[in-house]
Amino acid sequence: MNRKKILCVDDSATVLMLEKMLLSRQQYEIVTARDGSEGVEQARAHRPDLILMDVVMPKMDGFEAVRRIRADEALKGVPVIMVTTRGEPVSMEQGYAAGCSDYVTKPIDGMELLTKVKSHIGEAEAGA
Amino acid sequence: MSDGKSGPAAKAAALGDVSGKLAEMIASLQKSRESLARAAGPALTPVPQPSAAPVRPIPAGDEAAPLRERIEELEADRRASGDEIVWLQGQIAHTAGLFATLRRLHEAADRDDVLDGLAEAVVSIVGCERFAILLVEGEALRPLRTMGITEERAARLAEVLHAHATAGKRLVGAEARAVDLSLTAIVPLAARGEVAGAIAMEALLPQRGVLGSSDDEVMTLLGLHGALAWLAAPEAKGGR
Repeated sequence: MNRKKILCVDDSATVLMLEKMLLSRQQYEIVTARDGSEGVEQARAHRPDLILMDVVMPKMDGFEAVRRIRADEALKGVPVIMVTTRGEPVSMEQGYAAGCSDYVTKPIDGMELLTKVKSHIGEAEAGA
Repeated sequence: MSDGKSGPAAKAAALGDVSGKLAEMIASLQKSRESLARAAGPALTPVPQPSAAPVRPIPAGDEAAPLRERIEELEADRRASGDEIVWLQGQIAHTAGLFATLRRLHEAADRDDVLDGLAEAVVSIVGCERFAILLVEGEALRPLRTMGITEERAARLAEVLHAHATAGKRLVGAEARAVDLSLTAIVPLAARGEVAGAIAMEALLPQRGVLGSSDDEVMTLLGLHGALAWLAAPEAKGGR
């Protein structure tokens, strides 16, 4: 079976480990990156089916990383879920303006994360 | 876990029993429908398969009453199983959070890395972006990591918290506010009878609810394993 690939981008090793544990159980293949710049590189190298993107990161923040991913012809259709502590509407608007597909706030609610991941990976399949 | 239920393994076993029971009930219901269909003749056949079964009107009459009861029982069981699954998913995510924190702390390369691990846990697992991590240096507490608060405020917290932190007392909610009005929790970092410092948390993230029993487990883990990791870690190159 072809496993779906998810790229998790976060500067927190704790969050990456948590996301990996929650998603690996669902048979997803996980690729990780520690900042926005590495996230864009990994996205180009691995062509993931979905990206989980932190907002506040060193080198390049999540908004800029999403803008670059959306500008890349090969990646512009990949769903990106922002994973952030910033749950206020103004921050969400900024994320959607940059091109993200959805939001999950920290602390991560496992059920919410899995539901959104499944929903967007399903959407991506339907749209392919 | 402290929600009045047994551990995840027991819950998984219980859920397995419920699923087994559910399968038995579906088989039994299927049999009942088949015999009912045979008794009623061609009007009730064919019997729908359980997988893609559309809802069919249940025939009126006494012979359908047990069937309706079984369907109601089955529905109630399905709802209970759904609740169990949601609860289990929550427990899995909570346990994964504890494990990730533990692993992060004990994999830390040096004391700076331990502080990074503690800060990550406070932000991403507890849900607090206004805090100070204070460590004992000589006779005083020193703020070595802060987020969302000024240096002056952190220094003031170090003075205010010294007595409570060095006594190893964890204070949450009203008890923490009694020490300083802006505080939500004070978590001493203590292990093997030694107090290494404390984490002072101010406001939680807006999307976070109040601290609950699952947060107690996180704070217990942070207090004990934060201290163990700190005491065991080599000093960072910078001297800490």
